[in-house]
Amino acid sequence: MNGAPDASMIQLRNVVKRFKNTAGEFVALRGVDVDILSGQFVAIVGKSGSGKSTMLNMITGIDHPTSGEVLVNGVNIYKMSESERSLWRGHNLGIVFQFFQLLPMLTLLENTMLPMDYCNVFSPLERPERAMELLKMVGLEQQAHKLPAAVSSGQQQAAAIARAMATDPPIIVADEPTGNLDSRSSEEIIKLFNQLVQNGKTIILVTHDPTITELTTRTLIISDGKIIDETVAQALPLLNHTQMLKVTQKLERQEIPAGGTIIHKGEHIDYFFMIAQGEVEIVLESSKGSEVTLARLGEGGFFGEVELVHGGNSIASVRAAPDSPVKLVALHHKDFTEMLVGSPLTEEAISRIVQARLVENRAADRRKRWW
Amino acid sequence: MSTFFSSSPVHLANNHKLLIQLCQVVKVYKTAAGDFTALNGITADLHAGEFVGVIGKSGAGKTTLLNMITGADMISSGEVIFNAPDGKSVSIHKLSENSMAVWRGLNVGIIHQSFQLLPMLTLMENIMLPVDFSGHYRRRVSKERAIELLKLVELEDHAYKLPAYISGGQKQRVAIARSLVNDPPIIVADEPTGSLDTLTAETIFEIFETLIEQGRTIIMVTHDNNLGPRFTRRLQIADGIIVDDSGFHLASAQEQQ
Repeated sequence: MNGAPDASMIQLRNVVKRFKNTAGEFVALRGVDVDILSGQFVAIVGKSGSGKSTMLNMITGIDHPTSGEVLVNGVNIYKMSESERSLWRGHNLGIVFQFFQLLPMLTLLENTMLPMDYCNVFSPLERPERAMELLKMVGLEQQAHKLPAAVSSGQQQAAAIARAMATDPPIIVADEPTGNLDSRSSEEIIKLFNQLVQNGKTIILVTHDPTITELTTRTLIISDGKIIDETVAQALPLLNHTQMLKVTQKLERQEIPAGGTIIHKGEHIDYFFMIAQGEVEIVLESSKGSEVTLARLGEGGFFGEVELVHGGNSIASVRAAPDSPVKLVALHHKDFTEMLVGSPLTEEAISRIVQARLVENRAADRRKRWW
Repeated sequence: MSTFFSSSPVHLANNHKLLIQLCQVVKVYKTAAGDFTALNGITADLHAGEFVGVIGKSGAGKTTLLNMITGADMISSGEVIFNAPDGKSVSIHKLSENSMAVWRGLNVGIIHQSFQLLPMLTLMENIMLPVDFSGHYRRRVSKERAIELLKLVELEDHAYKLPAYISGGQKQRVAIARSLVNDPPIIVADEPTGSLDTLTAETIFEIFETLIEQGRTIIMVTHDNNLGPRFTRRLQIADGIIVDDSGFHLASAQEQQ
């Protein structure tokens, strides 16, 4: 039931969500485009009110987008009727909530059986056995016949994860799953998620918990209803979310074939480049025409800053690695300068890297005293 | 709102009769750090028709006491005796697990601070979920019954919505409706207004007060001292013991018995 690895599992296309209330209109999502691949472990982070939970509700079909499309496992979920979607959801998504949402009158075993009863999957005779297996997986076999009130919060959440797995869905969605747990229980829950990812499940969760975001394969930052460019978040982690969003909105995108030149030596540079995909080589030509590769930069790396910070022309050539086409995002000089003014921490960090690279450059080519 | 309320004369007829006896209830949790005594000898008589507030700070033992009354958790020593309206008495912690589940299903409705509604099901479906007491007793809730309960909490117009589309106060009303599915004489509520604003909390109290007027018994846990005057009976709990028990009028109880 799990998709092939790297196949697209969830796509949001220009998703907009507006809420109308007595105070007027509130735009929670302002055009969100995201592609989540099968087997990815994705954290959605952002400040309170940024649109995180709304985005999750768009994926689960618990709420409707005002415009845009959501494709999950190849299906356009908003082209279904509510009852079709409900059944679809039962088969495709396991959902875990901050406050567990276990039914208080039912034992953990009965709670775990609910989705199987509701979606009518597995034969009625198999269901208790499967529920017990799932509880065993989350370490709750001894507690299976207890009511939620009789176990700890961490155990309640573990049971909620067992319940989310009941119909063996390819995708698990969780909203602040450790938000109501102490750190030790959180660790246990995170271990469970990790185990599920290893079994090929795709997991998307909203969280504030840094111990989770350290483990995920991707972090999507949402700010003011928009997704921050992941390359910007990776390359410029010291910006605040508002600054990252501003940079995101000013990016220009470039694709360079393998081995293609991005910057020629001596060229005047107007852009700060960040690497979204692939690798680039920074190359220095010696006086005899041979080349020295000063550095090879990968995803999240950046270049152009030496020239931009100090002014002047490029001192080296930059090109896509011979074996790897490159996707770049570029920020114009004036936007780059504005960004540095707004974030002294980023300026300091970039200056430090520039100084280190200048030292490397000198070491690489002692004959040419161009500095 | 009135049709359903007037249909439960049974509860009213039993008003003020002795319903639940807590006798020297002790609960000790064994933890890695050693034993922790959550309840250290709780004794109280609760009567039909009382609106009982179990009031105390976090960690005082309030929720543990509720779990002793519902049988959700095992008692370490002491007894909880339920006196059924038909005159039979049971010591609930002496019941087998299955009998206890059946007893609870028939006699107790449970409400939580965080509602515990399934977000992928409509309000109707949340109320109609199969109520299975350990396989002994399976009863599908009829559509008519679910609508009747939604009417009671004034949410019939939202019957086919998902919980995401209604407010916190409305969610709690759905949870109350669900707790009434089997028409239980006892409702236990753990901080039911804890995540609601004052105005919304008021609507929950109004529903509770109507349920009390019917003769139902409500036992509600709160950390909020200011809610004290809303209850007809107040059990103040600290460090696992009752430090103050006020509000119960023995005279009116004796008059009834």
